Amino acid sequence: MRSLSAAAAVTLIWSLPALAEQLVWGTFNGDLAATKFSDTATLTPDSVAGLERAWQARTGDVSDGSGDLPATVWSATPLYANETLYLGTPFYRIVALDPATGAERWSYDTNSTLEALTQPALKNRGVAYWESGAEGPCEKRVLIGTMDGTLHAVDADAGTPCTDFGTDGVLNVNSWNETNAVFPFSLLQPPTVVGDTILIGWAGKDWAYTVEPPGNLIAVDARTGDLRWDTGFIPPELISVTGTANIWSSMSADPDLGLVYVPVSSPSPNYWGGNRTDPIPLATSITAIRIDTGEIAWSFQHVHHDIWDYDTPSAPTLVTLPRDGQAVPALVQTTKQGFIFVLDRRTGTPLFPVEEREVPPSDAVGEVVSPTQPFADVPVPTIDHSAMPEVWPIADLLSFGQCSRDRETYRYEGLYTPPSIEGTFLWPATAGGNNWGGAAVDPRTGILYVNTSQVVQVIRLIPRADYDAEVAEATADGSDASGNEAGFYAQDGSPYGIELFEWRTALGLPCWQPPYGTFSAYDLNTGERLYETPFGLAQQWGFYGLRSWGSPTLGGPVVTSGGVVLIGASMDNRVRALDAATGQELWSDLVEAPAVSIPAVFTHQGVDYVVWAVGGNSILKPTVADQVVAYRLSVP
Amino acid sequence: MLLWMSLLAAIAGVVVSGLAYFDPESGIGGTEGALLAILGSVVLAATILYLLRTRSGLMAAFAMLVGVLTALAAWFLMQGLLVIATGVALVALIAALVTPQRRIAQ
Repeated sequence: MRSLSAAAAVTLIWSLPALAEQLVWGTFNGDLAATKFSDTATLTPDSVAGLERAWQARTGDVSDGSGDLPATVWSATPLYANETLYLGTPFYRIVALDPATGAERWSYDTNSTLEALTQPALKNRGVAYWESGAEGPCEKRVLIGTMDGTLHAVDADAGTPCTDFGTDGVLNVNSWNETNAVFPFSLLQPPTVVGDTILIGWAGKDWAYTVEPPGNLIAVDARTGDLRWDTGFIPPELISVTGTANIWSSMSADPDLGLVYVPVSSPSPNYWGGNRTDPIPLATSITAIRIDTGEIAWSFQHVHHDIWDYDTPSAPTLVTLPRDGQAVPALVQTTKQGFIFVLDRRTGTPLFPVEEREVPPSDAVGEVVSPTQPFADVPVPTIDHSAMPEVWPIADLLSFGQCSRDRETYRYEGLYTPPSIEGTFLWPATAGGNNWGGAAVDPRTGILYVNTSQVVQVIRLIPRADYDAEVAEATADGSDASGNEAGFYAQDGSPYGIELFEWRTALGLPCWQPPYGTFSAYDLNTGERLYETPFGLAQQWGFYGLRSWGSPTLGGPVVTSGGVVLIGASMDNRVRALDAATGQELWSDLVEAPAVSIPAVFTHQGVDYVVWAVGGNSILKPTVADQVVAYRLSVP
Repeated sequence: MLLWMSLLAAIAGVVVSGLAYFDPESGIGGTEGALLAILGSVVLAATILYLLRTRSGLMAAFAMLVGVLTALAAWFLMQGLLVIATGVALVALIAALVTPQRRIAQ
């Protein structure tokens, strides 16, 4: 076990106030700092082998897409607050459960339309919680959003609408969607609640349009839903030609500094930028916004002129780090492209060197790429950018050399190779690297824990004149008129549609050398990577890959003060406990689908619980579920 | 006797693989791999049943090939019980083949 350095001791002292709040799990990431740290000391490397199921429950809200309803994607973090467990479901219902037994206390149905309006599936990442501190009806509230852009406030004790919020408990957030409204504001990620302010981001429909709603952050009053402010991320003069740069993921906040830290996504269209050659400095950025006014305090753009859909995918993790004998409030942002940016969260100044480096040019019509992009070598990126993974000989052999031929055909000249007509390897893939699960940090030591997908995709620009014919040819059976399921996306209004697919053989084998997923730990005090190990098991048609191959992941880890990492995320339907010191597996359990969520880890009536929502995500595999599984240590 | 034991183990393999296909917490529920395991187990059982009635070197070799492939599939499906069941079926089959009084037709 590492001994605590003097630097880490400073970290510990500065983090103590946060530790006192960790027995609840009141937000998507556990706390507003998005540490995903739980002070449940009983969960240790020696004890977790004794984890057993306390209970399991089902919401009933699941669809595999074979019937009338679209498939479901369920990535909710359960919230533990008010001595109750709250979950949002992909049918946009809130379910309140007894944390000790899983028995349902109440449920609330938004009666939202169950149509895949912006996403390929019905999707939910959970609920948010607010309490005023007073007693009485609706002084404690649970909030859930819907894909069609409404936000519902419900009494946390009774499950009834809080009628003073919006109109009879429903705030029509989509009513503010007044510009380029080609899709509704989809409230799939629960909002962030800071004090009496609800901060709302929204998801849109990627890859479909060139001109889309301009991304913004909306702040409303937690009691009434009245608009306090909204802050946009697209320069006003460009709103007629582009859009998005939205916030579809979770946020973090530092109430003491009065700042909310927002992960801003890429502008539209995602894979061609000839319509937006003027700078959009807030797109694909980490941006700090003053909670009381909406004013932008600072912004750090980590991809200039993004044409890879490398959205900022997760809430930055807040931690205090020692620098020159001082305790510096820092922010750690994991990214799809695999960089870990560590910034001073007061100013946005990098705490490790960030260097602008030249990147390859584009040959697409009208495209003007940024000549340089920011690179951060410390901490070591979670993705090895020095080269693309080699062709996997087994897949190459079984595909009679298809993988090798692909390697010669498609373009790759390093990270940020632009999309092209001949096809460009996306390494890392458009889902990352690291995605919305983000990282966990132990605030006592400044050690960061993160799961990473190692996936190669191919992006191909298709000239507009050829697009419809290519889609028609690829979807000749008529079952996929949009072509989306076949990997085609229109980017309407631009000179190019796209085809996007994983680099696989006709049999479905990955063409690139494993591993496909890893788990790593970093010492944020020094930037050193402490370990990197394959994580999870890849699966194809039910067959498992070798342990050394790992698995792509979606969802994030939680670290406990006892030195255990709790994580689902892998495609093999397993939830696991890892030794935080080594990354080695200590315990696992089979569940019904990939647990593409962040677990809630909390103490209820003196007993520590770990609860996962098990829902699956078609990005990993088509298995879906509506399972909620709670674990606790067995009683000796 | 040994062939009957092999048949019983193969039938156990059919049951185990069938349960795995329909159990959402088996890790392979509803997958093509589970279907393949069921198919392998059924073919193995049917071939052993055939061998009980008619001794054939060709069919014995076929049964062993199917058994080995099914066990291999079960291994990569992480279905320990199916590996054991198929392994027992194979060992019993081999024992039946090498035991003089159970000699198969030339």
